[in-house]
Amino acid sequence: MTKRRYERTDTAGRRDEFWLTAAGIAGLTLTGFVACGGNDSSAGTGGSAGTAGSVAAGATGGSGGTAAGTTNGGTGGTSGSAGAEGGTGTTVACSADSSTAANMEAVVAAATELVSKLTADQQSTIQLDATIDNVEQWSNLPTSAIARNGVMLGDMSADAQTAAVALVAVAAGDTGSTLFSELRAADEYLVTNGNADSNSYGEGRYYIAFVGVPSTTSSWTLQVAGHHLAYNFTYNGACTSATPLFDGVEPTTWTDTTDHAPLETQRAAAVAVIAAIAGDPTSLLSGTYSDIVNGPTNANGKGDSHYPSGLTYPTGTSGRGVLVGSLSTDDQQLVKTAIEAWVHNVADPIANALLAEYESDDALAATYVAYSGATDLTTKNSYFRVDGPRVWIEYTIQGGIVYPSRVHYHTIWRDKAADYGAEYVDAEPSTDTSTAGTSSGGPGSGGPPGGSPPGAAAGGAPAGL
Amino acid sequence: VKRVWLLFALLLVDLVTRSAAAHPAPHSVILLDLRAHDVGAELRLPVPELEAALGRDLRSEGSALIERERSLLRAMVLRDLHVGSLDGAAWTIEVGPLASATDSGVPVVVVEATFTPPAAHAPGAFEIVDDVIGRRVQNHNAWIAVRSDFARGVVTGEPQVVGVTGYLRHTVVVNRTGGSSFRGFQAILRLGMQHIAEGTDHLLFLLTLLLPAPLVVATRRRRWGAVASTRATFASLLRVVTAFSVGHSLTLAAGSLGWLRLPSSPVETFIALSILVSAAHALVPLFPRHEAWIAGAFGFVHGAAFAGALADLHLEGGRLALALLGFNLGIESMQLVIVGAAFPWLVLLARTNWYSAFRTFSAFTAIIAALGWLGQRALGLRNPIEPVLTGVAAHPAVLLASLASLVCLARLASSRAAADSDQSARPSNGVAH
Repeated sequence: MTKRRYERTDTAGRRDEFWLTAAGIAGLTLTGFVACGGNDSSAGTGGSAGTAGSVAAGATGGSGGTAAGTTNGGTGGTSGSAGAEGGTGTTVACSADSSTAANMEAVVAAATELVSKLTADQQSTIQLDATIDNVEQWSNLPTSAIARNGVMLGDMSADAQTAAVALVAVAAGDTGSTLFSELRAADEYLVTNGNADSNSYGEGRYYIAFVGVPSTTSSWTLQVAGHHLAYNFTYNGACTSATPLFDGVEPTTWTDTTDHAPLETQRAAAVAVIAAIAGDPTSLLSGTYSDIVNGPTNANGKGDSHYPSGLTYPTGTSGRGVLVGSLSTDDQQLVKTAIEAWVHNVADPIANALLAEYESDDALAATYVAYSGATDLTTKNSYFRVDGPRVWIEYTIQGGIVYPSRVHYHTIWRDKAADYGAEYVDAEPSTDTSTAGTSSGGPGSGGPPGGSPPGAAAGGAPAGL
Repeated sequence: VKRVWLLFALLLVDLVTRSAAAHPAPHSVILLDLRAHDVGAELRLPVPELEAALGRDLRSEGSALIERERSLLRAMVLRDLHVGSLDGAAWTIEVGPLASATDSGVPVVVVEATFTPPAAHAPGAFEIVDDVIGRRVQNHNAWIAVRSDFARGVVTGEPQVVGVTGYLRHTVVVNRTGGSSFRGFQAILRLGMQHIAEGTDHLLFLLTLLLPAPLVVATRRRRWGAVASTRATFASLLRVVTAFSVGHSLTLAAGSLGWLRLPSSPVETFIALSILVSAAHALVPLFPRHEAWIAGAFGFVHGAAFAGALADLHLEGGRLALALLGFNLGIESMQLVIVGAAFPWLVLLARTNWYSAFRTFSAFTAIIAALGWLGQRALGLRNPIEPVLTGVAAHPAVLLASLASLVCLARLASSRAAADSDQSARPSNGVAH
């Protein structure tokens, strides 16, 4: 574009050029070092002083001394029993029941059968290490919001799906495997009828995972998990266990070739109890429940990260509802039916072993039942609860998500002593914060005594969807 | 750049408030700014949970809801939020302005508040008892998160959740004693450096303005001519960089101290315009020997944008002054590093006959970039160039190595050409003149 060329001027002497080149090379070296070698320091600056990824569960239980942190029960030393310290200071023991052995062996066989039908990749995906972080990875939220462990049914071959369904049938028993298929159908209905996103909902988006290697001798957990379902069946643990068990449903009822109402057994049993106790004003809990209180937290993409130390169970004798021991025999039977509506979602040998604990006279005498909201559990923010020495069942009615004008259900069954087979009672979930900045659990914190790692305890977020 | 920061800030809040979507029982968030003498707090209360707490529909949303329920919401916060030192001494809570917002699709009420400790109590250690929604809604969770803590070097980034309230546990302890102003200063210094390293538009303006620095205007005006002496070149560099620094320091200070509030949108547009002007100047001398004035003038505008980034940090008083110093030092040092690394190569290249083409090419690149930003900032158009620029700017070493290689090649070609013209008697060896 220019006809005239710039002449090389003599003003720029050789010495200038030498220094310029030297400066340029120094600059180049420095930049290269900073860009390539200095990754550590650039992470430091980029992340603004160690805050990366730190919306982590912080600790801090309540200061009110209410946190019934499960503590250190017997350190597993005493022949497979573990304990959890209840808020009142009484230690609730749990144990391993040998009558469940045959079922456990059948589950291991069914799990092995499933593995043989999977691809090599899936065989590796379905298997997770037995850590608290892995075992807590389940949720009430759609699978797009919180990742689930293991292999999705929709990704399995037809043979493998059949094996998966068979595994659930052995592990969950008739009631539990029917619930599994009904909740899958409900999720599918959200897509086909409710136009919900098929990347979040659908019958294929239910997962099978093994946390710990399936074994007839050592502890492992079978997880069956999807949007509104989480089975956590732990075998060979310190205690016989089928919890935490989350189930929920939207829509609550629908009709295709037949009528569906997956949670109707649970709902009807709860309503029957409420009808029996509502005459007693102490059966009505104060406050409002817009969701379950001891459900998954869903913080940081994790699920049940409240467990163990951040779960809160009520203590004392007031404000918990009506004592089952004070009810008539008939009404006590209604409570048993309600408890069984949840507990029978695991295979009978395990269900029966647990029911023997939950329904003993001693246990029932110390079990509270209560409700909030509408006695017929039809309207939003209605709530039903069973609060025993070990058994903890919550049932909530919430606004609809895919069908906003309707309601939907969330329920949870936990065991105050035996969640995850009591294999992780001393563990604390890690968090993804590595900063020293999180101050947590200072004086007055209700976290476990002796101090959890900074930011490690409790934490997390709200009970979910 | 302000927009990027704003997005960044929104993203951070979103990380804390995430999982609220499609969630009938969304959690509250309390964001804390730990300051020298008190604690700034921002409560984000989800409307569906407020309704559950009140047992009625609020029936209006957004600013209408705030207008209608302002006194009720203030009263709820004042009645049900308690802050105290760990020895039990109560703090005072002042409730500031209320606003409405949306977190992951859930409408929220945003309440600004200030927690002030009593005399002789440190502002770094306290407990919050949050009953605002939890008083009624038993399952309600509130995430208590530290958004900034100058003394612990937390000035920006994802708020750190230090505790979550829930069923039967409404108290969260925040215990962040220790730390020092120096840590805050360091963090701010890094922030300033990062701001320039990532502020492609600021850098592009400065480097484009420096393109003609090694040249003098030709005797026939309106055209860049011969290479200036090294001394003159560096004098020019010094003038431009100093003027730019003085300019943006003034507005950065004025903006951060609240003396000057410029709306960010015209500032951003003006920054794009400044690149356009300096690129045009690199093509033909528009204001030869007055680059410093232009650099100073546009520095004012760039400083106003820096001030926006600093204003987001919720600092005040002595810490603000310290932050101002740290941030500016960070900006200046990073600027010096980049100019220092690139400029010698520019000067060397200017001594080859490739410089004219390089200057023209660079100027046009800058013009295209500026037009992209102008369209985006003034007209709200999609900017297809920004991702390219950001991608390229992410690899400064490669960029600089390319420049260095270009210099080597150009010098090789130049010396070959010079040799050819010396021995013009010889048959041509293929180098065209």
